[in-house]
Amino acid sequence: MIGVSSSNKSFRVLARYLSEGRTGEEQNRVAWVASRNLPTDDPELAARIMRATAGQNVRVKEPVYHLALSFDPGDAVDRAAMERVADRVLETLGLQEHQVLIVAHADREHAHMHLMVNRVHPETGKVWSRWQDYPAIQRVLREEEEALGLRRVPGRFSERSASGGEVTKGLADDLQTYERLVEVGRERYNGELEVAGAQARLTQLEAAAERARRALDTLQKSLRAVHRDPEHALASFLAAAGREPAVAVRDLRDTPERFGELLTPEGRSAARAAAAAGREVIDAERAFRVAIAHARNGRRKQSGVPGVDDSDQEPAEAQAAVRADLERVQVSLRRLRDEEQRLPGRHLLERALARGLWELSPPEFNRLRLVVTGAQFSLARKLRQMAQDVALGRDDEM
Amino acid sequence: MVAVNGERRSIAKLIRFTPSELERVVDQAQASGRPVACFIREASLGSRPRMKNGTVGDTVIHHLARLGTRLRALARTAREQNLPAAAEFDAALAELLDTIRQIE
Repeated sequence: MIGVSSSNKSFRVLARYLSEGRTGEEQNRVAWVASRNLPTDDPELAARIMRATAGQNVRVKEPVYHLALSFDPGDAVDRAAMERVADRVLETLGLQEHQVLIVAHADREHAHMHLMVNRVHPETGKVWSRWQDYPAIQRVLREEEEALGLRRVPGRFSERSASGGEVTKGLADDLQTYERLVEVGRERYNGELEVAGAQARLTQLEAAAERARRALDTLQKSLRAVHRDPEHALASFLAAAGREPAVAVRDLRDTPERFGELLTPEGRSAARAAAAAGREVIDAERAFRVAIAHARNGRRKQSGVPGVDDSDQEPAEAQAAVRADLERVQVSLRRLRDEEQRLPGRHLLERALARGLWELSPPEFNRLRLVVTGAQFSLARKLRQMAQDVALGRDDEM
Repeated sequence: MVAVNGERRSIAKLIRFTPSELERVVDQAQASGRPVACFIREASLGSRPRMKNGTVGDTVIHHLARLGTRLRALARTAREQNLPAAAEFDAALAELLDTIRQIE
């Protein structure tokens, strides 16, 4: 048997969860309901009464004590046996006079029941303290397993305590592996983001380079129909465009002879098409510069590589730098994937660890702090909490 | 000990009341749902402790529930021993629970 306890604030929320589930639609989950020191078995009304009784003590902040007792799937237990265990636990904890609602669920393979206990005594108004409740619960569960012939669950008061040190060491080793798995996962995610970014930058650069090359080809062809020496005309136009692009395009359209001797007087009419091609060359060149700047900024932002001044960087160099980035990150990603394959599966390890940590008693869990790092202990706390939440079947609001 | 603005409430102060004064203070503290010391501190620092919601209703429900618990035990015993009053106990318990349900 496994017992998990917690304190909560709201009887109403817990009662609703116990009878209707998290979604409010799990209508057939309740196998049976019983109560102790209450006039009713109706969960909603019982919660109202328990709240009223808890209200008689103005100091209590969390009057709800929630205890979940689960049996092994192989344990054939009936209602009488379950109630017997519940009563023995309540009696051992000193809660036999408190208001208790017992709700058994039939929604899992294993038999289990939840005890919603009012920590405020109905007659004296005193608050019951949960201090050291875990060892008491474990002791009763071990005794009842023995008495009812149920499967023995390893716990602090069973044979496992003899090898407690080994268990702690095993958990510490697993925690170290789990921490590395989390790190590798994070690094791989960042690496994949970096690859995606580098690929996008490379694609943008290649597209811009292709556009610039085509624009230049078109301009060269156009100039052949206008000028006797198209190479000279092209060089003159590019020089002028470097100084004043708009003026250079206008001159090529209106006074093409400024860039060299015309092929024929009729060549002037072809100058209009050449001017359009010239405009496209200027635009494509500008787009290419922007792509180089993006590549430089992207490299600096993602990989910490120092940026190079784009005015000095040749297009080919920019493309080569981005390709080198891509290759570097891909190599690093392959290394991470290899390491990940060598490590155990993250979810399997996570579940095994959570279960192992959850079964530790509070002192055992605290001893773990001595053999692991702060970050690993923080992970351990999260996993233990996760296992407890799963066992209690509760969500954040409770 | 609760810390307020980084300070702990480490100083205790004795206050003298007449019996009737103390009775009034205790009544008001209970009505506001606060411990007496907490009520006196809040009131003396200028705040007006609000009435706790449902305090009166809670008290009534609490006492009815205590009666109901005893009544239920009686009804169970009567049923187990086939006493003629068993049905009457059940009816009385059902009526009491209906009454609790009607209290807001």
